This record gives sequence, structure tokens and C-alpha cells, in this order.
Amino acid sequence: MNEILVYWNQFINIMNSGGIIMWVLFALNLLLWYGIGYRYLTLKRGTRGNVRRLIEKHEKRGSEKKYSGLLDYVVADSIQAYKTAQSIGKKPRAFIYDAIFPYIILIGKYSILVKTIVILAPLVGLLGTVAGMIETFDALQSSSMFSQGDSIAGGISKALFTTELGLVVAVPGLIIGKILDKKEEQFILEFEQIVDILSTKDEK
Amino acid sequence: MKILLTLFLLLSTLLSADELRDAYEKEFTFLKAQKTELEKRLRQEKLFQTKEVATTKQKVQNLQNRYVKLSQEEKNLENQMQKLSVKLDDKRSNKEIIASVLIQAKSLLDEYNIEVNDKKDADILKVTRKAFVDGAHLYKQLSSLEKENGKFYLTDGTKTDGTIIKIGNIAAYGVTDKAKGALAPAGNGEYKIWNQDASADALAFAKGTPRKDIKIFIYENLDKDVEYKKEKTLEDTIKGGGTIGYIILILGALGLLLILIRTVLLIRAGSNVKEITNTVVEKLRNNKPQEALEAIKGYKGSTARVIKATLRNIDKDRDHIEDIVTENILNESSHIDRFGNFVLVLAAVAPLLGLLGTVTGMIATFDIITEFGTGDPKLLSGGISEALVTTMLGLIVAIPLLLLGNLLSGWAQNIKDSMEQAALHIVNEYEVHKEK
Repeated sequence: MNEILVYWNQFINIMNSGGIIMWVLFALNLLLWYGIGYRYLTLKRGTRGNVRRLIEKHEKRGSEKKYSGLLDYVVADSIQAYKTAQSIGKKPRAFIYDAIFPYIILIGKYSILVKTIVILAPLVGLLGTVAGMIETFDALQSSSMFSQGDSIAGGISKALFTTELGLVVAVPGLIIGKILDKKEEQFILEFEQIVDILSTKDEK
Repeated sequence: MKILLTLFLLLSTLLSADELRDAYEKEFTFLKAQKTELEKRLRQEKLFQTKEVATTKQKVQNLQNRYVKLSQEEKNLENQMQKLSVKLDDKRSNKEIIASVLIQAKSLLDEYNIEVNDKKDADILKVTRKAFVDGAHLYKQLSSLEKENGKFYLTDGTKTDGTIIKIGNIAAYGVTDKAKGALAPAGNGEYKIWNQDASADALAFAKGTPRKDIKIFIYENLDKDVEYKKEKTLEDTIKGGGTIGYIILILGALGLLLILIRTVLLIRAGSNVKEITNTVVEKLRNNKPQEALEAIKGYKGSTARVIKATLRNIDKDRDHIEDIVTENILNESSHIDRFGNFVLVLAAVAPLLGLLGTVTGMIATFDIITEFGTGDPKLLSGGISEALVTTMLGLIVAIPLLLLGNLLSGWAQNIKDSMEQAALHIVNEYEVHKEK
């Protein structure tokens, strides 16, 4: 318990040495990881098999199939839409698209937020650096040591801490964001495949 | 001729043979005696010579010994000489050090009116010892907290009596009934109260119980008046940015305004997608497309227009309907995407403008340096701090514009997607329920 308190105090100290920009960056960081976490959870594929076999399985077992991931739900909904379209004798493509649409929106959710924060964090860090530099040069100009908050060393520490935190926020976000984007692309391709398979079923 | 000569010789020989023998004999004895004499002398001489050689050798030996001894002595003396000259050098440098120490002591202690006798006939040892004792005394005095009554200026320029608490000779606090605070040099050895509040520390020092974190004004000497530091207001900071700073701020305000307008447009375009869809779908379930059209007549905005167009043409061929939906969405997208790119361009331009301002500010600073030289670092750092303001303003403008602009773009894309989906969904519902 005591150790946690010590770490907490250290954290507060570091954050305060960088000024208000640090807290802005920290808030951006929380937002970023919320977005990444959300995307990670929604982009879970669940099954490993390829799409063709998945559709076969679903058709065989019907509603008894256990759903283990996003793809399962998509396939189930698509088959449902396909059956509806068949019952009224229309082409199924539009119906399946209709069923898949909410999932396309779902897998794209927060992707823009993550990208924006990855671009934004280094900029905010730079802003902190510039503010710190201004403080440093001001202190050099008046060269008084009257108050601690407005000193040469304070300005420099502000300048360095904010840039550092900006990069610390941005770099993992960039890497993980790219991985998730790749996953999203994969999903879109698989959705297309599902639509194509189901719409060409009759002509087999 | 040769025979004649030989005969003559032979004759003469025969004639004088006897005489010759006598003569030879005489000569022989004489020579013999002389030989023995000579041999005797030779022996004596040899004996003498050996004796002489021995004595000479002895002499040489003696001389050599003496030489070695002398050269040894010379070496010793040389060594001694070297040692002595080193000692002399030491003494000389010591003398120089002591002289420089004395000069230093004099220049330092003169400031506090302590005399150091540097005349040539003075006893250096005594003078040095005195200087050190005085120095130690002064050090103790200067590193201690001292309270004394004195006069200092208040912030409004009036002079008052009060208690001055000196912290060595690097800082001071002043306490009077009217004002308390840190003291700053006012020139000519006088004090003035610094304009930032440090009254709590002044009181604590007056009581003799200094706090852990103190506000302090540290000065080098009291000869130079220190100007009050003005509190830097936001206005001053922006003024430091100059024309480019104002341009950036105007761009930022413009961007924010556009974002506001865009937000309003998007709210009106997309807020009622679900509501409209639900209403329409409900009517369509009962297979009443005309009623559905009536029901959403009251709605305005992009989504409503798209869905109305869909409903009007819902009896037509499927491909035809899809073309109509696409066309309508394209028509609305100019409305939905309005200002979107412009805001992002503003967000990209603002930091560049800030950089431009910084570069021009730097050029101005270096112009000042070419004129006045690099003697005063304060001149330089003031210019740089002003130059950096534009970069800061550029970033301050760019960051919110970028964030909001991107989020609004995402929102607009979402609205377009959901419009398309709603139209598709409605057509599908219609087809499903028409067949039943």
C-alpha cells in the first residue's frame, strides 16, 4: 500500500513538472486507449476457420451454433437475410448488405479517433516544448530566482517532459492502431466474401 | 786492371799483418773491457728503470684515486646545487602565490573596508595571517542571518524605516508595519521591496523560523537597481507574436466558427436518422408507403430528403431506386462535407505560419545582435522568447482544429453511411412486406 502511494506521488510530481500540457496529454492518452481497447474487443475474429467453412457450419447447425466472435454473428445475420430474400424471390445481395451494414459501422468505430490522437499527441508535446522554451528564455531575460515555477530549470523540464510524453502516447498508439487497421481491412474483405458466396449460391 | 788492384791489396795485406794483429789485440781487450763495463751499466740501468716504473705506476694510481674522489665530490656538489636551485624556484613561486593571495585578499576585503597592508616593507607573514583571520570572520558574518534597522523603499517609491533581515549578502527581507516582503537592490546599496508577495517568508524570517520552501530574491550586489518584473499577461504574450500572431489568431477564430457552423449542419443532417427509419419501417410493415411519406413530411434535413426521394420512387425497379439513392446522397454530401476540408487546411497552415513568425522573429533578434553584439544575453533571450510565441500560437490553433475537424469528418462519413443504409433497409423492408 505504501509503495503504491510512493509511485502515485512520483507520478503526480512528474505530471506537475510538465505543467497543464501533461494533463492534456494524459487525457488524450486515456481517450486513445479507450478507443484502442474498444477496437480490439470489437475486432475479435473468434473463429479461425475460413469463411466458406464457417458458412457451411452455420447452415448445417442453424441456430444451435455457438457464437464465438464477430464473424459468427455476421454469417448468421447474412444467412438470415439470404433466406428472407429467397422467400420473396428477390436477389439476395442487397438484403445481405443491409444485414452486414451495422457491422461495417461497428468495426470502423473510433478508428478516426485513434488516428487523430496519434497525430495530435506529438503536436501537443511540441506545444509544451515551445511553452517551456518561452518560459526558459523569459527567465533568462529577467534572471531572477524569485519563484520556483517560473525558472530556467522549470522551463527546460517542462519542455523535455511534454515532448517525451507526447511520443510515449503516440508511438504505441501508432503501432497498435496500424495492426487494428489491418485487421479491419481483413474483416471488410471477408464480409465481401460472405456476400459473394451467399449471392452466388443458387448458381452452383 | 782488376788483377792489378787485387795484387796490390794482397801485397799490402801481407806487409802489415803483424802490425795489424797487435793493434787488433789491443783493440779487443779494450773493447772487451768496455763491453763488460757497458753490460754492468746496462744491468744497473735496468734495475733502476724497473724501480722507476714501479714508483711511477704507484704515482699514477694515486693520482687516479684522487681524480675519482674529486669527481665524486663534484657530482655531489652539482646535486646539491640542483636541489638548491629547485628550492629557490619553489621559494620564488611561493612568493608569487602569496603575493597574488594578498592581492586577492585586498580586492575582496576592500569591499568590506578591511585593510590589507600591501606595502613592500610589510611583514608578509603577519599580513597574510591577518587577512585570513579577517576573511574567516567576514565569512561567518556573511553566512549568518542578521537583523538590523534600516531604510528601504516601498513599492510606491516612498522610503520607510523598518527591520531588514539580511541573509548573508545574497538576499534580504524587509518588515514594516505597512509592508513585508523580499528586498531587491535599488542601487547605491539601498533596498526596495520586491513586488511579488513574499510576506509570509519575511515574517517567518523575522521570527527566526524560516519555512521549508521559501520565496527569495537573490542578488549579486546592491549597486545596480533591479527593475520590477511585470506580470506577463496574455495580452503581452499575444503582442509578442506581432502581425503573424494576429493572423494566426484570426485564422483560428475563423476555423472555430466554421467548425461551429459545420456542427450545426451535421446535427441537422443526421440527428434523426433512426427516428425516421423507425417511423417509415413501421408504416411499411403494414405496406403503406404513401402513409410513410406523409408521416415524415414534417422532418427536415439531408436524411429526410434522401428517404423521401426513396419512398417516392419505391415502386420502381430496384436498380432505378439504387441510382436515385446514390444520386441523392451525392447531392447531400456537398452539404454534409461543407467546410470540412477548409478546416483541415487551416489546421495544417497554422503551425507553418507559426514557424514563419518564429523565423522572422529570429532574424530580427540576430539583427539586434549584429547591431549591439552578443554582450547582453538578456537581449538575445528576450527576442527568442518573443519569436517562439508565434509557434506556440500556431500549435494552439492547429491542435483543436485538427482534433475537431477530424472528428467532424468521421461524423460526416458516418451520416452518409447511415443514410445509405437507411435507404437500403427501407427498400428491403418494403420488398419483404409487399410480397406477403
